[in-house]
Amino acid sequence: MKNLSQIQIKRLTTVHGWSGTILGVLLYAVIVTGTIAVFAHEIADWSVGGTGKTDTLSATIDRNVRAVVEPLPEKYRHSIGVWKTARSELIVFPHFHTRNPETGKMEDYGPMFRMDRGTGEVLARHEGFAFLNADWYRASALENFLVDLHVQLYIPEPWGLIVTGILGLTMMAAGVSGLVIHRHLIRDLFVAERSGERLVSARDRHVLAASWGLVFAFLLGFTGSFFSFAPTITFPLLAEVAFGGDQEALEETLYTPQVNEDARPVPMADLGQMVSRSSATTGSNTGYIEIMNYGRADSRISIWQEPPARQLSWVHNVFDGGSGEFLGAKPIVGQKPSIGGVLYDLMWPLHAGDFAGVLSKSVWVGLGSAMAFVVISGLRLWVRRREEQPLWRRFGRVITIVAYGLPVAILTCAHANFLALATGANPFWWTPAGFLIGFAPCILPGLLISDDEPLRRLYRYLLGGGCVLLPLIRMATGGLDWRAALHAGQTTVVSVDITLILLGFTLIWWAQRPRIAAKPDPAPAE
Amino acid sequence: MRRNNSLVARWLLGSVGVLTAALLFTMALPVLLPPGPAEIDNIVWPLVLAPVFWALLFTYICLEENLRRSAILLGGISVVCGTIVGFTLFA
Repeated sequence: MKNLSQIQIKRLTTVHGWSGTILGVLLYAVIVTGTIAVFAHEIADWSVGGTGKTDTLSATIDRNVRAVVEPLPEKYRHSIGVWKTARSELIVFPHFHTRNPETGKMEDYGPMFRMDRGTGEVLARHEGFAFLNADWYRASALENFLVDLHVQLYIPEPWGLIVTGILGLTMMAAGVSGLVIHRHLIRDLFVAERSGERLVSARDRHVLAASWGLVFAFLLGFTGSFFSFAPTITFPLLAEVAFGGDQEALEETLYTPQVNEDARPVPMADLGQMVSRSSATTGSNTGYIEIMNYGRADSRISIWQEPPARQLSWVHNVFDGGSGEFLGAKPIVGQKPSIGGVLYDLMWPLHAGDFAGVLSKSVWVGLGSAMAFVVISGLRLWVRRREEQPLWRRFGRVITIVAYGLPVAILTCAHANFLALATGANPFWWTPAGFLIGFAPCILPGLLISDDEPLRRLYRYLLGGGCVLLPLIRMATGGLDWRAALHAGQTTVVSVDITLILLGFTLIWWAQRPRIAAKPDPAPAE
Repeated sequence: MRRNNSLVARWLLGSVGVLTAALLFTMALPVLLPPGPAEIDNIVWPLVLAPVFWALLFTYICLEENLRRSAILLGGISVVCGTIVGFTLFA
């Protein structure tokens, strides 16, 4: 960008640096948890230990849904959500939309059934505003905590989403300003780090990782702020303008299949057959089912299929609930295909890397890790340029504590999750508690050890040890061992264990690696 | 003193000004855009692209040398889009 004036570059550099410095620590937390949450489903499967049930959703679904829905009053049949948890149990949630007096918002109310898919036994029944209680509808407390921490930093709604939305905008601003102030973008993609631990070495590392992640940073910031702001700000504002404030009408226009109202009672067709047909037609697994107007002539069954091969987005198949007739695939938004719909469909796969299985998710984890490094290296660079001032030196220590402390705390929350499962305690309480407990071994060494290098080594040992121990703790607390997991086809359990062990030993090796001596700067830093 | 004033003006334009203009522009799009064959494009485009509108305006304010021109642009967007939104909501 050679046509920019020095003043413009200086202004953008200031924006780049200060926005990163003020919000960098929170941004780092969102990026690290987001990088882990890319594999949220796999972590859920792994953390609940698996049950060996790998059969499809269609097998007993019709019998199970009928058993709990048909005895219910009419008002609960308006909408019924059906899905499978990571423990392979069935969740059936007949509900209606009503205002929650506590939150003042329209929310889903009804009885939520957790069922054994094989026997049809109701394992738990709760009634209320179900989505306010994660332990009612999720099997993995660890997945729930990590996703919640990423999505809203464990801050109550809507403020958590607004904070993460602002962080997304910060990431976009850092990406754009970084791109504009780059004077040698192509060269920087292949820059070699200058030796020693000089300022230029730190700058080289930051520039190298940032150059590869510039587009990715913009993409993640854009899609992330969309997911944060859409439900909290943009959607209500657009509903005001286009639908006179009626958000339900906007939701129906975008997401609900069109049907003429017909309240005549009609027996429901076999749901299992519809699920089988939907899976066979699309060629992918069923993720979620929604039954509208159960037992009426205008009943519609929406079946969402995971993205099939060579397609980025989920597929929404619609069936007539009474006849079981396949009515076709509806776009995720709107009733007909549109450019807006394509744009909307792209947001999730681009944010989560969820479009080509483990391969795309692994690429997203790699780039996410690079972005986390970019944030921390940028913060360190900012501090090193000001390290003669005590306040900035102390801020530098905070950066080190957070950079290592957050992953250590995430590891301790995973340990706490397994220990709670083994002792019969509530993992949905102990997992976040374990996260907070994990901060103690992170903050204390930061306060007690004055030199940075031994402090970082200690953190690497803590991280490495925590990773290596985690599979052992999982198995010791009742999780599947490798032989049983492989026998049951639960390869995710073994894969996550092996990844953790390899990562742990790499961190321990890194902690033992001799330090490279610092060399004097031969040239002034840029 | 004059430099400080322009710094404050740029801060105000980059924060409140950009946010206001981006929000009003987003809210006016359902009225301005054609709904498309599925009759949702005028809703989905602003819903998805709202963060990009902010990023574009923010980058522009950072790069624009002439503060008066940037104030006119942001003010113009806000007034035009605000009028459209106002008419839609209250007419």
